[in-house]
Amino acid sequence: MSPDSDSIGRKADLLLDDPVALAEHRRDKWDSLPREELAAIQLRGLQRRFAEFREKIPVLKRLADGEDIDRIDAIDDVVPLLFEHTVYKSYPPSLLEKGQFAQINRWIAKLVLPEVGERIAAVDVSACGGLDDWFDTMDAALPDIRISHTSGTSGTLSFLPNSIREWQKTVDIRRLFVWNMTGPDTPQPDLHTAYPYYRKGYLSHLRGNDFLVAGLLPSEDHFHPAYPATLSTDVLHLGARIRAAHAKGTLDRLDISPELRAKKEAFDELQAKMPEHLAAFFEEMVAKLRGKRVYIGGTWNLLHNMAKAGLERGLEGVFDPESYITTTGGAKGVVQPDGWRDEVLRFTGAKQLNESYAMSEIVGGSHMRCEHDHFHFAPTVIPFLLDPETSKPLPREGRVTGRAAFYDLGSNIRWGGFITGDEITVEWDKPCPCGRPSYYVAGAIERYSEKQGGDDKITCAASENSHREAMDFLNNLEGAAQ
Amino acid sequence: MTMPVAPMVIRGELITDNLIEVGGRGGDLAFLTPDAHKYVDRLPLGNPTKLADLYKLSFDDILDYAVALGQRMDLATNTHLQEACELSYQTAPTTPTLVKASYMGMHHMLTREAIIEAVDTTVGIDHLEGWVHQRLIDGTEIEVRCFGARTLHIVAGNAPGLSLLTILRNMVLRSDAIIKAPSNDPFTALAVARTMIDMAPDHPLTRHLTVAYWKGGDQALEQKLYRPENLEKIVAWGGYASMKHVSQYIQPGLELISLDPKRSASIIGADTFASEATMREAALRLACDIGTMNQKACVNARVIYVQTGTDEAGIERLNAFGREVYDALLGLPNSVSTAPKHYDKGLKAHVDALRLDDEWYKVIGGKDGEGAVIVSQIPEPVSFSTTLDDRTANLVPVDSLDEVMDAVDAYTQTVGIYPEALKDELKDRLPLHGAQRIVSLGYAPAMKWAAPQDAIEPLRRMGKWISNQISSPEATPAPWLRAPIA
Repeated sequence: MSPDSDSIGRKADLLLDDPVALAEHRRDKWDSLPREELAAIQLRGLQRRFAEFREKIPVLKRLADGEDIDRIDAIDDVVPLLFEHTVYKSYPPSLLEKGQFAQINRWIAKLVLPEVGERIAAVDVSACGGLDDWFDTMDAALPDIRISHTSGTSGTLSFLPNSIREWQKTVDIRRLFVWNMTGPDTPQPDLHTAYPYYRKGYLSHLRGNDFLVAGLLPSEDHFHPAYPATLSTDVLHLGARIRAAHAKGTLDRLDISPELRAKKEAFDELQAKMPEHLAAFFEEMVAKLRGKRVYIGGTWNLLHNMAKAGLERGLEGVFDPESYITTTGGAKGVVQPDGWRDEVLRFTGAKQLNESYAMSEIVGGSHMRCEHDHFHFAPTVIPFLLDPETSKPLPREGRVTGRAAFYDLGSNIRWGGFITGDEITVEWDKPCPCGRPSYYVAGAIERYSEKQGGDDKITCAASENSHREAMDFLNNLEGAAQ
Repeated sequence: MTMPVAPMVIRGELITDNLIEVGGRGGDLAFLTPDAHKYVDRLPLGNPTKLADLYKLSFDDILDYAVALGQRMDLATNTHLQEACELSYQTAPTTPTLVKASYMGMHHMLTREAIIEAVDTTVGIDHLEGWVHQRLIDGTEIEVRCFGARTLHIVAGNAPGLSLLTILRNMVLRSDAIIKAPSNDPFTALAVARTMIDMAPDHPLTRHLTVAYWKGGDQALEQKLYRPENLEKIVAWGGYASMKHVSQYIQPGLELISLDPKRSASIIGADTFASEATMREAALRLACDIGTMNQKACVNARVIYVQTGTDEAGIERLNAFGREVYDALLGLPNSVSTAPKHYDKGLKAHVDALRLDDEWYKVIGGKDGEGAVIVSQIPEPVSFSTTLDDRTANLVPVDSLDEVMDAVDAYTQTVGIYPEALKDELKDRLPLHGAQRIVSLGYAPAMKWAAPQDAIEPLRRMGKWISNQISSPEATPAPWLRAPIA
């Protein structure tokens, strides 16, 4: 092995295990990792992950055996092994309805390394009365693991098992930007967070709150949520089930336990008090946070709704101009109202808005938008473009449009390959005028699901689309979810 | 390549002017068609008395016309059909051999005996031909006749035969039809209309058929057209979006006959597994219910409840049955079923994910997009059962027949049952849960228009039922002679 190869290997280890160290804890260095070298480091990192996981993670082994893939020589070799989103929700829905969490655990165990899987399967969940209870039990029993869920419009929850370390590494990278780091000893700013949503919950974007507090803020009391409560996953799940049953005309067959009914009532009470909470939230903002430097991250509509509510109360330029305001996904295929960015900036007083392209399934990196409106790929995540028809990799040269897929190198207990439902255009050749050497997304990000077909294709067969409209409950409830 | 043209037909007149490009979304075929906005004033019949010419025809005249049309519906010689068939290869959700088989079979609908049977069973020919007389017990005489109506049809495009059925229903009812062609079948109704023009350009039946394409939900156009002064009825097939568009125009004087989007299921009883021979027969029949027209229709089986039992032996039986079904599916003739045109990506993602773990579901086939049989190893369908398509079925094991009631809900249309004797146990119960059509397994795709459809009688609904009441004080107590209340 040449010395050069050794150096790539060491850098790959850093990228996987302590990515900010690769850039010497400097924001400018992180943004300027040379393109060719990074590609070599990423390939080496991918090979390491494949070697670690190929024989051990049961679902990956099954897929790789089926595809007869034993080695990764080139980046595209991994494409047949990238997971569809469905892998994270391939359990029978009745397991949740009947509270069979031991079986859910056995299923999740197959998505991770066996040593982690065994511990997941071994947790005593026999007394768990519901999803919230189960999440809390798992958190307590497995201090190094956080299982989160996403909300599918179909009403089935996806479960994502992440390590704590994954989240920490991601917040380390976020810190480079938020603190504008110039080295490992960059002093910690007196940073607050005003968060226009729940403090806690098991949805992936709420899961991140604990890590943001630990990694960015001086202490928990610097985090100011609009709703100090926990967003109940049991209630979200119930809502999805009710809507699904409603659409099928089987509402009468739905079996809802008294415990769940009580949770729903508590949730309704909380909903009724939302305006009071929101008023208190803005009062606290004015009293305690005016002129302070803040970090606020959320989906664009969450940020925009907060800004609108604030502006309606006559609040403008509330925070320090150096504050870091960032969007975390949520802009896919949605028509955004004109002027939302201006309203967010006017309300917060921040100098700029940091938009990103991100998804719950890829914890390890957000792709940040530059001043030329390009989303630059995070070094920790390998991007792929797939043919939307065949799922085969498209050429990594020129300007190409296709289905986005990623490999999340930060993922250290589960396989990081993931295929999105997004159509993106990547510029593989021409460097961005902003000076960042990374590949980038040029143009709009669209959802394939929203592009398909004319609505006057009429068929007598009832498809899921017929029902979709009735199933937006979860999204509405969250207000924020993608 | 020149872009294909779908002309417009307005009551015997072929229109090819004012062409605009439509379609072409998401890789669909783009084609040219007259801009319906330019003709919106001419699309409706106008004064309903213009239906009078149809009443100069006897039912026999209508039959003669239909039979003559049937003779011209020969794919080998009819150039309109040939052209439409060829173009439909690109627009249809099914494959060329299936489209062609549909086109080749269309003339069967137009035989004298078949029409007489269907109309007499559903409406009663005498009600169409004249007034049907009856004397009530209070002495009143009534006579009832079914009249035609000015009707707009939003037809489904997943099977070409549906366009012809719509035209035929319009003819026998002496109605005036405007067919809004769907983007997945913009050519079939048009080919039939053009054949009618070639055959008898001035015949009243030819002159009461209009076929046009516009993008469903075009508010500017639909607001002008969908009004009680233009139409009495709208017959809308399927399509949640189209149904929603339409429902906003429904008001007193304008009735919606909705043939909702539906799903179908099957129930396979325990006796099926009494012998190898019956098991094989059931597998073949089931494959037919799943695979016909590549599962693009409402009648196709998707979730199948099988009474194998849920113990280990039962699951083993079900897995073996699943393999038989899969083999039978692949063995269906190409006039019935083929490898799907495009296997649905979203569905493939679900099926592929299940393949990674055998504990709850076993996936048979499907790697090459040819269709798949998913065998549940637990008494529960897959979470994505509502999206099953492209020859993908889900077999679900059950212990008792009580559990099969889960197979049906408000979206259920057909339930195929095997063996036949099992129907007696189920046919009085299933309809209460939502089933609308019970059929011998293997015959689900063979829908009969002599039977009710979607739990209504569409042909009766499409007519206007008029009564003439004949009373006299001598025969019936007269209201004005009633004694006052003290």
